[in-house]
Amino acid sequence: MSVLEVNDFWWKYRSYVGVENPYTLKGLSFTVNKGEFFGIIGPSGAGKTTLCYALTGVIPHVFTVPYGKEREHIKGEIKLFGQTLTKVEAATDEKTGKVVDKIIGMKQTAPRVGLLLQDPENQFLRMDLLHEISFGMELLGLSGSEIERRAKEALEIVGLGSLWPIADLVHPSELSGGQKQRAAIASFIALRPELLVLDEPMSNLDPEGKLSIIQAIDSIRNEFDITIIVVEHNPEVIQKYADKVLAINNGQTIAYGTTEQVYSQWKLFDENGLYSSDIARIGWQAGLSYNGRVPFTVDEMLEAFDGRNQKSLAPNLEDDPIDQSAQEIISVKDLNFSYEDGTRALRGVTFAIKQGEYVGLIGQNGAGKSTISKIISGLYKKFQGEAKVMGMDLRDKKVIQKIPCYVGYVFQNPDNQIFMRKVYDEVAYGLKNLKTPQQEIDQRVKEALKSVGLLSKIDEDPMFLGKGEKRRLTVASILAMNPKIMIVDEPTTGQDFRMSEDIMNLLEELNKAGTTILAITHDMTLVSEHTKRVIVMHNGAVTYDGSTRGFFSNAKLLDEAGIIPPMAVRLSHEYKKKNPSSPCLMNAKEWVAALK
Amino acid sequence: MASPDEEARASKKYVCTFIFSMRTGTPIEKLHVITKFLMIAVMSVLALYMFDIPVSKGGPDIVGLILLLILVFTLLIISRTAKHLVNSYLVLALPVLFGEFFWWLFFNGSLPGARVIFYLWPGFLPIGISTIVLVGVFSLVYYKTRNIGLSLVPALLLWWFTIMPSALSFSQTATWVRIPIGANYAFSLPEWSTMVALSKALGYGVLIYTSFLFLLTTRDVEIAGALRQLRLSFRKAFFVALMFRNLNTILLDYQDIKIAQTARAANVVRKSIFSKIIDLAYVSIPLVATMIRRSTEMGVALYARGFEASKGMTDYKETKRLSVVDFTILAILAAFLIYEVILGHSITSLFMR
Amino acid sequence: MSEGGKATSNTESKYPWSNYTLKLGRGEPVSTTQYVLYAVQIAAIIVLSYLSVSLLGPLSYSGVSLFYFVYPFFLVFTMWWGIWGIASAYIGCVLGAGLMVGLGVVPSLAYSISDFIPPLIAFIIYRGLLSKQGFDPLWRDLTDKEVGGVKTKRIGAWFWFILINGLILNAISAELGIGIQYQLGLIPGNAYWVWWAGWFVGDLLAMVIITPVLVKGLTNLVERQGLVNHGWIT
Repeated sequence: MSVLEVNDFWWKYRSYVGVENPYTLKGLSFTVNKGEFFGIIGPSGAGKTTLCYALTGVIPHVFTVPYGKEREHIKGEIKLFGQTLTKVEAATDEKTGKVVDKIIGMKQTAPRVGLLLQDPENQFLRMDLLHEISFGMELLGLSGSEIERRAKEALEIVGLGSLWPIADLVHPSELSGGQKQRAAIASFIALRPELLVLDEPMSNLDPEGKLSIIQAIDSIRNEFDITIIVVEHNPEVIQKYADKVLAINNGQTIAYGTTEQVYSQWKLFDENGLYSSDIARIGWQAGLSYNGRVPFTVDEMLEAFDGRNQKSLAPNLEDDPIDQSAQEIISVKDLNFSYEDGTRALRGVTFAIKQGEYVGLIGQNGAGKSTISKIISGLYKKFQGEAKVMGMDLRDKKVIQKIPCYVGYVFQNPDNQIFMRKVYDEVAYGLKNLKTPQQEIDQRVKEALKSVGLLSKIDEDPMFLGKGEKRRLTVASILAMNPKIMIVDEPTTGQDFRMSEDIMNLLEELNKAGTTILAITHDMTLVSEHTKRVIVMHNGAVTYDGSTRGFFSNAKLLDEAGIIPPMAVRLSHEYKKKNPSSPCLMNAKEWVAALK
Repeated sequence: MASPDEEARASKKYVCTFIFSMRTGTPIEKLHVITKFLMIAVMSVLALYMFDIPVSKGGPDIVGLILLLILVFTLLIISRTAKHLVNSYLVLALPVLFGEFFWWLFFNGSLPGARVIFYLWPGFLPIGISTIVLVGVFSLVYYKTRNIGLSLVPALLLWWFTIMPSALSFSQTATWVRIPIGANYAFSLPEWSTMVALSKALGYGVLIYTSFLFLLTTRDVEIAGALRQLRLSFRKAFFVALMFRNLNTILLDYQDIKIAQTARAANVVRKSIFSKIIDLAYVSIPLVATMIRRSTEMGVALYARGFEASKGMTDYKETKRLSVVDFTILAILAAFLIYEVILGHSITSLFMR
Repeated sequence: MSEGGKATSNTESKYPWSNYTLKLGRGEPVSTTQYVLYAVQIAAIIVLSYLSVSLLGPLSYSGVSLFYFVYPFFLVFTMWWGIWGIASAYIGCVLGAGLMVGLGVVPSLAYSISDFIPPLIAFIIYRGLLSKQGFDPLWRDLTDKEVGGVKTKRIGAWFWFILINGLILNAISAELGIGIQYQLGLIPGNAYWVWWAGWFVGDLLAMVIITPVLVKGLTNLVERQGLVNHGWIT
């Protein structure tokens, strides 16, 4: 029985001023059956969020259509639970008696349908946890006792049951991003939906948060027989849980079918910049197959190895040695820091980074990664201990003032760091602050934009750039200032595969040219592919500081740090169980080189 | 024996309020927000009345103001929020109170009564109680701020405060040694000037600390609930709730944006005031852009919960009943108000009899 | 004032801002996005009001800031969002520049009228009168040579902006604000004009320097998303 039927659906956003918008969704057709786990994948800007809005009635009830232009904006039909959700039909206007186009269908999909958005902050609508969970039920007019029963149950299901006794006292600022997302899921579970649509629910979370969300989703699916639609970049999630997958790009279907059918199409992923798992990439590139298709899981890959000569898996692994003669460019000793509310963020942190290194700074949310980075950038001042950048003591106020000339910080959220309404002006902003001569500004702006591939957008309005372009713009804005050190906070969050690759390749090029890079990230694939050294933080302290390979080789260390290694590393660990002398191969590239 | 739920609840010692947090289980936490609001409203009316009683009617009610101030601090202490005040606002509020005192001392125009001599400089350096004040205040503020400049300002102000009035600087007990330095510079003011100035400072202190009392002990969720109790429609009450919900988020956004601006070298080179103002204006661009994005997503989230189609909302633990304690406090406040403002009595006059 | 603009009579010319009037709205109910936005912008003004007064610390006495930088924000918000911007000006002052800096309930409620009146009058004058004379009620003519293909009268726009907002409404605001504080006994008589001047100059500087940056930087962003009110309410 189908829950959703989408038939040749087209959608165009309304434009209020200036030129008409193009169609965002172009003739999509697919079906979602009851109880299915349906995955939607696609590069950034493909129309995935818009599709989620269309499937839940947000389009056209929140994003409306101008009167008289319905057919220009909507074509085709969406059916939900067998009834029309959205369709344009000719009907007689009650007031005028004329035949006009009208949008027909359900006006409200709650409580039968739930929608979980990407940003946990923007969907936590109330001022305490209890009322956040009960909000939808209060709007439905359920009785107090029923609300209480369902709210308690919902919190238990998402793993927040321990907060039930104090739910009315917990303010949203006291919850982590993962907890807020789980609270949002709980608020929908309490409404007993039949369909739950989740738009990249894990992209803003740390690994622990991601795991808790996927576990919550899996448990509710089984317990309540809810149909799940998830937009997700992570192929592991889709491959493990999804029954069917829809791949879209530029508003159009590029693949639709079972997980196996879709993920077997290597060329599709390559051409459209979609994330494929390490295992699939190894399989494609090394020519390995499992039951006539590429392997998807570690176990499948191990079976596909059968027959391969063990010796071929002893590649010539030579990590680029760290130049010991290089100068220390960042040095922190016994660093302590507490926030104004008394939270201790750093406890005796000590490490040194040499010029030209590319270091990954990893750990769970709240470990202290951003705090230490902001101290090094001169953005946080009141610390105890010693911190030096290029030999300059950060306890000196005059040094702190000048630090932005040497340390560039690219923040996670591009929206908070775009100050101008023209790309050129945005990149020039930092240079103007430094009183750089105009000719030099011109030159540096163009160079920076060229290096990030945005030179053609020099006169564009940054507010209307795509997500990936905004991210590259923020990198260009810092690049133009020629920092010796670049700190990048979550460079690949929310990015599709191609954009992530572009950013990471750019950072590698900068590193080869001499810039020291410190990347704060939860993306272990990024760490394994690009960094030679990692600093692992936990609870404000450094728990590991050494080679990336050394870290990923050590299962105990990984477990203590709460880090889930990339698939390629997990494959290495499993392979090592039968072949103890085999090295730890960290990424798909090393595996392919080893297998060829 | 307490149940696990009761134990869990008891372990949550603090709850977020408008600013900072409040200890749970205190008497103030149990008060209804309407009571708290009326309490501070009445106290502010009383303060405004007490410090404005004309000289012809006996002058400001200084004792009443001191009692009000003691009451406010007592409430801050029993709500366990006084430490927040000491850690942050106390240092900032003191200069404001001094400012209030000096403005009223020198800008109040002519008042009746005998004239009192004040010294801009008494012609000597007094060593005595004023020195203890200087050293004591400096040490206290330095202990908190670790900043010499910031500690010197209130210390010197208070020190000058104690040597200014002639009565204090010349009395035997106040000054033990006098080291002659320079000539004396004196002026005289009507004696009522000091009383009025002191009452303004005390009254303004009542205003400041009652406001902080409210903000330190009130949760935003209480206000939204109270509006529903006052029969405001659920959409209007939720509108107010949304407003409060976003206060913290926007403040964090503002701070993130300022940090991002610093990272773009906004403070590296010395800038004119005009440039600094323009930098402040530039903050508006990401701030408003983020505001619009948040509003759009929150609008979608609201729709997804069924807000648009809803005709009403169950009151599930949204409101709180007024208790006997609330009514008792309201009655006491009403009595105080009637006594002081309507009947025109003054507490100072009770002590003067 | 005549400079630029189309050569048609004022009553017949259709400006790109003709949609922005003193009607209640555009005949549609408040959408969910608008509902949230109006609440969020009030929160933003509360925060900015608080920062305007508190950042200058002890100098910001009696809720009066020597540089009230929130002032241009709620003026511009009013031009975009009508009654909601006016509400944000009042509520922002009560909470942000009043209670949260320790002014007290009664003084905060009373003197915040001084922030309520200027945007209200500015909205009426610009949308009701000046827009028909060729001046943009969204103030884009302060910074842009043309708006929607129509040449703007920049000198005239600046003249009216300084005269109405900078001088007249600012003076009314100072008079109301300081006057109410004086009546409440918070400001001594001899200091009246010192504080009045401080209020007036502080607001004038903030308005003249910051408003054009806000307008140039944000108006088209808000307009492109269909979020500028056609009337008072929507």
